Amino acid sequence: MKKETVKNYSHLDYYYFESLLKNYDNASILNAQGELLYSKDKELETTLTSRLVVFQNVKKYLKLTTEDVFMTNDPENGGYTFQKIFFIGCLRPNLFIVWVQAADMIQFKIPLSPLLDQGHKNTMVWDSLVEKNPLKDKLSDFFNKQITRFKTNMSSTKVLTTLSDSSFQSQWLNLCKKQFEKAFEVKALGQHQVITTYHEKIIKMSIAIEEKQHLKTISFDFSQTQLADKISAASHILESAIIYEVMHFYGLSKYLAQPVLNQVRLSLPPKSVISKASPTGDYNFSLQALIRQQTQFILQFLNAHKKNDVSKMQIKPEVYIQIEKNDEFHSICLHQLGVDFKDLNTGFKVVEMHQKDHIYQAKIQNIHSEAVIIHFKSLDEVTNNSQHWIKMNNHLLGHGQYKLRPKDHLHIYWKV
Amino acid sequence: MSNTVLAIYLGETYVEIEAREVSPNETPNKKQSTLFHKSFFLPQSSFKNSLNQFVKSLAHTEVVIDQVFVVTRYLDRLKPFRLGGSVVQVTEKLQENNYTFESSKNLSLAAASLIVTINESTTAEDLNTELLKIKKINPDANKVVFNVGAHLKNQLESTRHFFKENGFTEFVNESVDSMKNLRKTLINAGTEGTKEEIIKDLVDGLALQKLQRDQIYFWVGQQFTTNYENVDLFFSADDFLTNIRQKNKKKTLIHTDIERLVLFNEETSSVWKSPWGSVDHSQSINHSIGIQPCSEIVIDQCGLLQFSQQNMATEPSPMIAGRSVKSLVIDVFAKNLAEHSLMTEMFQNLTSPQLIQKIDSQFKALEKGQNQNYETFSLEKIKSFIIQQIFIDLDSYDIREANCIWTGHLNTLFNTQHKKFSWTSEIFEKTGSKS
Repeated sequence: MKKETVKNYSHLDYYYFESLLKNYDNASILNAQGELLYSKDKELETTLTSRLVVFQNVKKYLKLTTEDVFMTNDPENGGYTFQKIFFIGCLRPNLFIVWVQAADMIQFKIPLSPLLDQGHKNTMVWDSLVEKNPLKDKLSDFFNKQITRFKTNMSSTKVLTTLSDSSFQSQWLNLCKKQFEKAFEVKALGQHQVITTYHEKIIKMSIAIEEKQHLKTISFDFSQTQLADKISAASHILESAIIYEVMHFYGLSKYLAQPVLNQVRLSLPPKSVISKASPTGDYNFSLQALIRQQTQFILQFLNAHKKNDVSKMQIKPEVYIQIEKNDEFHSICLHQLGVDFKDLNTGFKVVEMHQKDHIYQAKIQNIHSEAVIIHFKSLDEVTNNSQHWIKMNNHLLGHGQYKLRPKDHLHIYWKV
Repeated sequence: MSNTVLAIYLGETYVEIEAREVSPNETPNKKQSTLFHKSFFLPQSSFKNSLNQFVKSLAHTEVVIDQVFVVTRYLDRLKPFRLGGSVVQVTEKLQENNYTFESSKNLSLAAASLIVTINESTTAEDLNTELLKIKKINPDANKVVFNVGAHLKNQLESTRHFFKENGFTEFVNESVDSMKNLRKTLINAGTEGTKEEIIKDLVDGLALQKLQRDQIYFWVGQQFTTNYENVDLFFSADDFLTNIRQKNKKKTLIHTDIERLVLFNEETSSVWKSPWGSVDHSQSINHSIGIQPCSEIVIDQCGLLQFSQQNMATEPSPMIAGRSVKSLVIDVFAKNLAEHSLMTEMFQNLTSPQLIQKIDSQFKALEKGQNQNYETFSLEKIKSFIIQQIFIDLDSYDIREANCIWTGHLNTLFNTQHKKFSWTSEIFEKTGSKS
């Protein structure tokens, strides 16, 4: 079969990365220096900078050789929650992939462990993680799918050779920097700040977009944000949301690479609500949602022609519900712009389920003989209003874990 | 008098028609004479007009159409749109639009104003009032979907009878608890008009050739059949290509056509992630490869050349069709397509020096319009990038030449050794498989 040699096509080279990442929703490509070459994020719960942290952890303690894959889901070491598994694979000595895949059935911590050693399954880890687990079939299917993905990448030899070439990388990184400078020029400069309160803790976000001595920077400063007690999220969780929003706003998603990342300065005070990691990442979803909304608001404010139109920030409701029933998991994501139920009726008695004028109303009943566990994550301050609420047996739910007992009802009212 | 068999590929954007003369009790084969073989670009010539051209070619001959075999992607045209504008939905109270409980990103399948709810006490009078309302909102509403549980059996029966009497075509969701099945039923109802349009064009267009409705076979699954659901027609071409792959005992089929560039391997899925939500339907997975032929080539706000994600086949359609001044990926290959007889029939200006010059000028203008501080892209450079991108994508599928078959009208662009592809020739090969 005739095959073309891979040539450089300037800004269109991003197609090589897209081709490599076509089977992934959330992934990054990095070089041996840990420089980000390309990033792809499709989920609302972004893990953009978390992937970089996980990669640095691997690089710090382990030596990766070609076809090695490591994995972890530890929220205190770069992870998000137990259900999001990070995989770190070595494609070439100078090319690495870090990807994240959700696995709802994983409710335990996986410390940094090898999945593949030079292309072969690590039998010790496989035995303890998969073979001895009651969910063996599901886990085996999940991890085998990840291995297939990685091996598919390994067969893209021409692209891998090109992308791992240091002169290609340096050319690509220069192009991304140029793209940032171009995008920076068409947006407004200035400073602004937003203060919000979350569970009685003040979160103060200041932004400064400026050009000094030809240096173009976008700085986020969270000084004066209060220290954490029970509720907090790791800094990389919130940085992910900020970077994602900035790139989206500047139209730089295809060119998000290290030189672009270097121009976004983030200052998050240690041990604060927005920097202290928690063992299970319970508040990652809601704090990330809050910071995402703050970032969207502040960027829109600075660039608005009429400031009055966007003078006051209003937090929009967002909810993530995980329903756990006999090792079966069902996730629901609700926010103001959309809903994702993934066929809510499965396994429940539907008392009502209807939608009119973008108002979704559902009442489902647990008809099983055992309780169903509801993991509920939300921006509580705004999800108990007349247009957005979730009740269990007529009691409003807030952030936490609940038991939906036999014959209990879960009632959802959500306006998009 | 001779009998004639018609093979039709009715694509999203073009139609290929071939007629062969067949002696009675004989299945068509390559040796039999071709009476007509032509392709038409649908934005320029509707399916009906294309059939008229075939009929004109039969002037003064007494031809009887014995059977029509159709492989189609025509319903793909509906994918960007909401469905169900003329579909009434009969459901239970507090279950209205329950099929939308998957993702708000999905397109709508039913008009909210055409929902009728029934309960134990619903009377014929209630239904009459509802019908009057419906006819006021949409006088053309003529299809009805029933999604009612077994506990309302009697009401369901009387409601079905009522709508039948009033001339409605009915679609019944037999498993009320399955949203995937309900979506399938709604899609069947929402696409009924388009399917009927195809059949009407054929039956009316070939009335003089005495074509009957039950002589029209569509490829579904592994055979030509008259027994299918409308939703099956979304997969007719994919199923057909999969059958070619299987019959040739190959692991991979690469299909490079003017409509799309895709690859089929042995992967299958039991759920169709349709634009209207998930539907239970077994299918071969098609993997998109490279940049699609009907993507527009544009210059972005930074002055850089980009390829749009939207399919622009129908509007504005490519420059090679002679209508547009916007360049699509397929236009890059204008000179190559000019060597392909089926393409020059379809795009009649393709051999005209004026059109080739117009395309060249357009690409020169595109090159000049690019940011000169970056590398700029000429027509030839765009072409080599597009070809390279296809091979890069193919590289990841671990394809061995001996285990691969290459179909589609663009196949010879990538390797001149490939046999020239024709949908209708392939259809004639398979007319023996029918039910």
